[in-house]
Amino acid sequence: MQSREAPSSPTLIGRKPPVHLQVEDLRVQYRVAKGYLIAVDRISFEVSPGQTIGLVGESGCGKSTVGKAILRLLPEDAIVRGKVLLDGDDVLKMSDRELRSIRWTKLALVTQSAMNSLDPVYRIGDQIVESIVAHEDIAKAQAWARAEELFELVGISTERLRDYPHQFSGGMRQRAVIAMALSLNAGLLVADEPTTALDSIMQDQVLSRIRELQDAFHRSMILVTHDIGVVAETCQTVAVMYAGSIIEIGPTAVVLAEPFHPYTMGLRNAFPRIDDERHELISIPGTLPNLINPPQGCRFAGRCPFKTEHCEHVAPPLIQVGEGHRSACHYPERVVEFRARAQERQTWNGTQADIPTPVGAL
Amino acid sequence: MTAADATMHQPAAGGTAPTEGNPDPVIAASGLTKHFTIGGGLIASMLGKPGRVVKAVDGVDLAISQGEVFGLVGGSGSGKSTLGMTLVRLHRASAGTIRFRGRDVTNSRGAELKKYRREAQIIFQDPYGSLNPRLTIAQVVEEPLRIHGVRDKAERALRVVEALERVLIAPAEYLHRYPHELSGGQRQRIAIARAIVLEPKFIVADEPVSMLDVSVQAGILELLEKLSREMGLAILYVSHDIATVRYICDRVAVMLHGRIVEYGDAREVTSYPAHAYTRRLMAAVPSVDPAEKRKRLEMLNSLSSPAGATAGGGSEWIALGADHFVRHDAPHDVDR
Repeated sequence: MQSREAPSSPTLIGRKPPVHLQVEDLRVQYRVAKGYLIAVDRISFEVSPGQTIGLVGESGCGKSTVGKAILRLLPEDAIVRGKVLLDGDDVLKMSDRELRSIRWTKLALVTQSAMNSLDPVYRIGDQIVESIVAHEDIAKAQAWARAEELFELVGISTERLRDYPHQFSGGMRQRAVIAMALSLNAGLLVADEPTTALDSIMQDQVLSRIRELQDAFHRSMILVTHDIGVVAETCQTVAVMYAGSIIEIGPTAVVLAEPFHPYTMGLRNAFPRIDDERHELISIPGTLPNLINPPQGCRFAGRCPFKTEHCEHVAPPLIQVGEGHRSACHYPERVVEFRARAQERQTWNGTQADIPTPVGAL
Repeated sequence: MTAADATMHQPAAGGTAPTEGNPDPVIAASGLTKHFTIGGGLIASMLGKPGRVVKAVDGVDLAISQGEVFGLVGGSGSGKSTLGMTLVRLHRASAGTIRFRGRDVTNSRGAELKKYRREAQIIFQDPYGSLNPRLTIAQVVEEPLRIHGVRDKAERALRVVEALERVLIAPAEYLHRYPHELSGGQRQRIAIARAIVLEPKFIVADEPVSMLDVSVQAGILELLEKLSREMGLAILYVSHDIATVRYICDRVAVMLHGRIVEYGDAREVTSYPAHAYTRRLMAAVPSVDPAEKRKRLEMLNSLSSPAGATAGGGSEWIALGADHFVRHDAPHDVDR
């Protein structure tokens, strides 16, 4: 295997300081025929230097929108409010020129379909070199040396830099794109479902590479995924999102072991556990509520087995339930009872039937 | 192949395999092989360049009984999807035989093939790509009935409603909607309804949950299990995720480089994985509990090598239990 230590050469990767990101009151909405679709509803979180945070939730919960808002990659008709402070500077207020100067150097993105973003007619090494040279005043030979180093880091032999994308398997292409995203040594990496297209063995390889890189370079990362297993393996902090809001946030180990929000409990039930022979898979019935003029009160009330009338009228704020751990449920004092009942299949049977969100009505 | 035939076509003696008492599997493959030739086209052959043969499926034996969910697990490129598609005759087998309820369907054509296609269905991974966006749910589910000549309109409507009810989709609510109005999980239910509307005997479910949210995966898996029980369906559940297998499969086979390398009772195989590749699949499964994962990795590391077990008289397979077998020449070549 190749070396896993941080490279020592100052010209190569691993020399920039990690960044500090603060998202404050971020709100993303779209104007639609029937009013506003609120994709992200006033969320706040922080990524300290070297920290990895997981944004987890079902499709449509707004997690990818948050990632894109941070990188200013949303379509023009998106109405974005709030602050995204990157080392104190608000990304949302930057000019195009300022934005270009921080993209790839301070902020980088890897998406699920990134492996299809490689140009089929150029050698992979040339594509990585091109992206480095475009952003940094650096000789091609030096850029190539950096590309070699990155390939070693993601576990691909450096000779393969001369290959074309079609000569790579899906897993290798995904790792090559991760190498490319790391090539400019961005302080913050936003990874949107980086392993979802991969099979479990490749996923495991990519995740352990990401972990090693983090240990070596103390990079900050936002990992967007629907898979709480992936979060458990890579993130110190997890933010669980539901219908545009963060409904629970805290240290991953604590949130997944002792969740306070019924939705987090449901996600845990639904996750296959190969280590627990008696575990039963229980899905969360129902679907996300309509995000156009959403219901007042708790957004999860329609699917929550423990909802009361109060939940239907009053939206619960995120309240402190432990050290760095907050949950948006009105009943933190009933958590022990909830956790016990949440593990029983019949608890989830009585909730809302499978009524579709009328997406087509937009 | 002969030794493997003997073990796979009959339930292992004294085992609790669900094939017990049912010596007639719904679907049985024997020495099934699918080779693809890459290159070797006209120009290449004029230049004297022979094509390269890829052995996607390389001599597979398996048998699935009525009401049984059989798991087929492997990584990308293991040949598991090709095997599934070959079984339902979306690929032509290069060698070997496929028997459907005793009838050889390996090379069926014409009316014979159409009859088989009615009884053997497939569900694909991507519920976004597999439903025609221009058709309503009613039309999507009705289409197979039209193709297979169910002429009576009222009967078709009735069977569409029945199929939707079976997949727990409220017909009144959904019949006239379009696929884009539904969530991924609901679309996959529609794909399943379309697959069962002809009341088949055998279904290949090719990664049916890998594109869905974790929160709805469980519902789809439960549904497949329920359908196999209620309709007596034989289901081949194809997945790269060995973690889901235990929840719905009675038996499982692990596939690598076109060959089955380990198979047997799903709990046995996942509790005592013997082949190096099965162990790698097990080690790669993420866990929500780091302590559990550490324990699993320790357990996997502590397992002894199956190569040390006694190989019975030239057989390809080592019996590790009543219904648990590992290929004895196998623990090599697992790196990809």
